[in-house]
Order: sequence, then C-alpha cells, then structure tokens
Amino acid sequence: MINEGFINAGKGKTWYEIVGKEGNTPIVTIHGGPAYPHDYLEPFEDLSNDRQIIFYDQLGCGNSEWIADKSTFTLEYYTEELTNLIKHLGLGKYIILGQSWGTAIGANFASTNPKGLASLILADPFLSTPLWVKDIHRIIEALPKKFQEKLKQPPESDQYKEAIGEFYTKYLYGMKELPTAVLKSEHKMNSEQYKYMYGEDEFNPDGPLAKMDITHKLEKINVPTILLCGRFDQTTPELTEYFTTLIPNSKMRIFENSAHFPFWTERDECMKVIREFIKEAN
Amino acid sequence: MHENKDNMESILTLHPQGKTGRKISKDKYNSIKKALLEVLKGKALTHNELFEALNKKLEGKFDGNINWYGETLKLDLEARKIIERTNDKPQKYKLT
Repeated sequence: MINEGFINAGKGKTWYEIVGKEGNTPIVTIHGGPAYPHDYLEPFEDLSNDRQIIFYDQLGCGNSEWIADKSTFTLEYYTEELTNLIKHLGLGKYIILGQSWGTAIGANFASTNPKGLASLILADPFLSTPLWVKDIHRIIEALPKKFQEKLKQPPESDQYKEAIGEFYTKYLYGMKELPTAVLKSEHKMNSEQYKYMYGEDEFNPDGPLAKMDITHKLEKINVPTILLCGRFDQTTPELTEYFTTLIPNSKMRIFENSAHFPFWTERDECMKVIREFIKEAN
Repeated sequence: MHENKDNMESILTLHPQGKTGRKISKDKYNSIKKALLEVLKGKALTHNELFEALNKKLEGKFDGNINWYGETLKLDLEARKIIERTNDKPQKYKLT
C-alpha cells in the first residue's frame, strides 16, 4: 500500500510517500546528498512487512519543489521540515532512519528530545564535515601515488573524473553496477543545490556545509541509537566508532563487505541488524 | 552515562587519535576492561565478533549499555597500546 502527498513545510512543497500498512512503530527515512532524493533508499522497504516506512524528498530535489531560494538550504530548515512532516502525518511514536547527510538532520532533530521518538538509526553517518574530510584525506593518502595525482587535477579534467569514478565505486557505492533505484536518485538529484551546499570538489568542500559539525549535540540524544557503516565506507569505521562514543545509549555495526551503501551490498544482513535493533530498543 | 557523583571515582578515557574521551566510573571501566581482555585472550576477533562475545560474557551482569562502554573502552585500550588492530581482511582486534 502506497500513499503519497505533499506538505508545505514553510518555503515550498515537500513530497512524501508512505509504504506498508499500519502496524508496529513507523520508520521515517531521511535521504542523503544533500539533494540526493529518496529513491536509492528502496531496500528499506523490506522493513515494511510489519510497519509503515515513510520516505520524503527534501525541499529542492527529487519529487519536491525545486526552489531558487538558497537561504532554505540549511540544516536548520531541513530539521524544521522533518518536524513538520512528523506533525503533518500525526505520528505519535516513530523511529528515525537517516543515511549520510540525512543522519545530520536526524541527529540534529533527535538532540532536541522530540516527543514520540522511539529510536534512531544512523546509517553511514555524516555528522561533522571537518572530521569527514580529514578521514577522506586519510583514505586518499593510503592510495597509490598515481591515483592521488589524478585527484589533484581540476574537477572538470578527465583525469579527475576517471579517478573520482573509481573512488566512488570503492568508497561510496561499493558496487560496479548501480541498481535502478540508485540511478533514479542520480537522475533526480539537484546537483546545483549540492554544489551550493557542499561544494564542487568532493574532497575540499567550500560551501556552507563545509563547517557543519554537530558532534557537540550528540550527547543530548537520549533514545537507543545504532550507527551503521561499511568497512570501506567514506564515513570510516574509525569515525563511526568515535561518533558512537559521543551518543550515550548507542551501539555500532560494521558491514565488512560494504562501502557507503551497506543496505544494498549486504541488504539482508543490514535489514536483520535493523530489525534486531528495533526489537531490542523497544 | 556521565557518572559524576561526588562519591564516585571516574576515569577519562583516551582515544587513539587523540579525540575527546569520555568520563566513566572506575568500577565500570574496570569491569569492561577485564571482560575485553578475557574475550581477546589468545585470539583475534572482528569488531562484530568482539561485541558478540562481550555481550555474551556480560549480559545480565553489567549495569549499563555494554556496547557503548565496550566501544569506549576498546578505543581507550587501543590508545594505551593494550589492544591493537590487525591487517587481516576483515580487520581484527587482538591483545598487543
């Protein structure tokens, strides 16, 4: 059963979709990017056998309204958007599942101790750009010199494009053939918004998000939390371990054969881990 | 998680990369440290195996989130060079 609709969360129309029938505590998913819409989160529909899974596209990308007002592209606005969506849907009790940039929104929201939040799932957490960039450079420094040289070329050069493609295959997707749902997100992504918020160079961001760091808020999260990451994740296991120590009632799980998308590359195991966590947390 | 009661002795944990540590009670520090050293005695375990073993060992016997304390203490013991990571694939943890 699929229901979809729009809410006006302040600055434009935000699209949402509800998959599954009412049952156990629903899960609200938050996509990454920024501006990389929900489609690639499709594997989480596997959890809809006994509960509703809610997907939405953040304002400015995917099925939501593409707006020109850049002042909206902030962590604060997207946290407010999430708050409004939960209110609009009338969710009394719910679980938040953020992925990558979506974890910043989810954790920022959770740090305010919102009513009804039962537990938090942070997949491939992106909670501090400075720490994330530092770790990315640590990964790059361990790669062959020839590869490093290519990544130092301008982003529009063929050498850079070739190297970034290889980097993404290993540390982002963790797979060579991209599933249709991931390609949909690629296609519906708002690249201009991404470049504005993060920057053009993946390894040296210069947009407003370059300084984002919510690690000081993590100790305020008071619900059971699980952090997930792949062994070859751009969000490294080392960084995920550190984030785990900052969230009081948390645990983490590493997927040994995955990068930033363990929910695709180790789908069954990932869903099993989430189901067990939800059961344990409740 | 922050046990700063006046009458409770606490320890500020270390982090291998010098990141911020966590202040935890000495009793809990010692319980988790003992359990980690015991489960790693004579063997190398992956992250997942280590936490399965730790939970099995302490379930019902430890007052607190075993996973959180385990993660924090594992990092502390790495910083103190008591535990180290291997270059195996998958990576494992062992006593130094």
